[in-house]
Amino acid sequence: MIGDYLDELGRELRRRRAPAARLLREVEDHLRESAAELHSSGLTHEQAESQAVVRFGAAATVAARFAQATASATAQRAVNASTLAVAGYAAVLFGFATGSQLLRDFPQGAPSFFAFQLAAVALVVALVRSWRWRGQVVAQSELVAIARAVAVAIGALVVAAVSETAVALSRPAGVIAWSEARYLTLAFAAAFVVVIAAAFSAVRASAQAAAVATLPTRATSAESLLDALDALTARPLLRRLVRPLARTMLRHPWPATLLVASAAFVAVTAVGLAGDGGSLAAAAAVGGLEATVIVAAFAAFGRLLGLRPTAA
Amino acid sequence: MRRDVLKNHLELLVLTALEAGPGHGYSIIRAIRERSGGEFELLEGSLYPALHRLERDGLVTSSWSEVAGRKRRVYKLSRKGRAALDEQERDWRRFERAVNLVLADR
Repeated sequence: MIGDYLDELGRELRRRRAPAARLLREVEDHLRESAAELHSSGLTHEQAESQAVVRFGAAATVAARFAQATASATAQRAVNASTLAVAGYAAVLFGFATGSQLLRDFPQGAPSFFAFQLAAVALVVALVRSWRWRGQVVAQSELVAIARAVAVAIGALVVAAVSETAVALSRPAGVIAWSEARYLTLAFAAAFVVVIAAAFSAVRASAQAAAVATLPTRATSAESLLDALDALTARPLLRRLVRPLARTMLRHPWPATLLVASAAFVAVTAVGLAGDGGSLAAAAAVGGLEATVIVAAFAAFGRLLGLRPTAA
Repeated sequence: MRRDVLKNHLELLVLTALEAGPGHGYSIIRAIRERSGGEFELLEGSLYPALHRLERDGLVTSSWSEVAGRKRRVYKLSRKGRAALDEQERDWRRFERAVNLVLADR
């Protein structure tokens, strides 16, 4: 009886991608002690084992709770790893931008630049959602939402790092002296390694979250993001400011996105004019590209990040 | 008592049970049952996700021992766990007082 139960519990844990070995040993000790106590109180050996198993709970239920707790910890670790990766990559970007004159065109490729922006937005979504659950077992639906946001953030960062490397390697030889770029190149390589490590963490979190999720459509609702944001803004003044703004943006996602894209167009165009002293047309073209990418990214990733409702 | 109500306070109960001394899963269940006068009948399997989470958070530590030829995982309250227990007890006392005040008007 106890052996059959342990076999079933092992199967249920593996189905949910939860680590099984240690828990199974603990459960076996628990059930055998419980059965021995029941046996000494007058039950037959078989009745005692049966009763011990019933008191412990259905294997699927126990496995589901354990898997959810494990997946919560994995998701929180993946968020931490993503934060480190995005922060490291941003630090390298800053280093290049403020470094040698020859290196200031980093990031050099538009895919790299836009992918990094997407990574930053997805990371903020993941952070807001995970902060709401810090120190707790994350609800199944939120687990999927956090894992997806982390996957988008890290996926975008990998695209940014790879495309930047591709552009750097295709530069004509001798444009930048190795000695001049040595430390920043090493920093870039280190950031790349962190990004890859975070990608493994994100894949693991996604796999575990998917295995324990039963209501994936509720996971990405804008309302749950609003709840998470609400829990974050404990100060009444901040809540009065942030909540109505976030609610309006999440209830009217497309107008909000167009507003953000318009603001980005104005800001990027202004920076282009002020920074390079170039023509209005050239600055506006870059601003237009930024605005277009924001709208396209929202269309492509908005549902995945839970920033707009899923189709009915 | 309804198990879903109990689930929300499981951490506090486990930390309290471990305050008396190190213990393994079954002894923690037994301590909670006895100290509650038989009122708290946990779904025993729900204890282990909570114990593993407390360990990940550094509130308890654990190690293997061997009893009657079986491996047994023994949990011990950490210093951080003791501080968390104090804090959770304060929160609970405040909550209890507030609920009692509300119920007093019935």
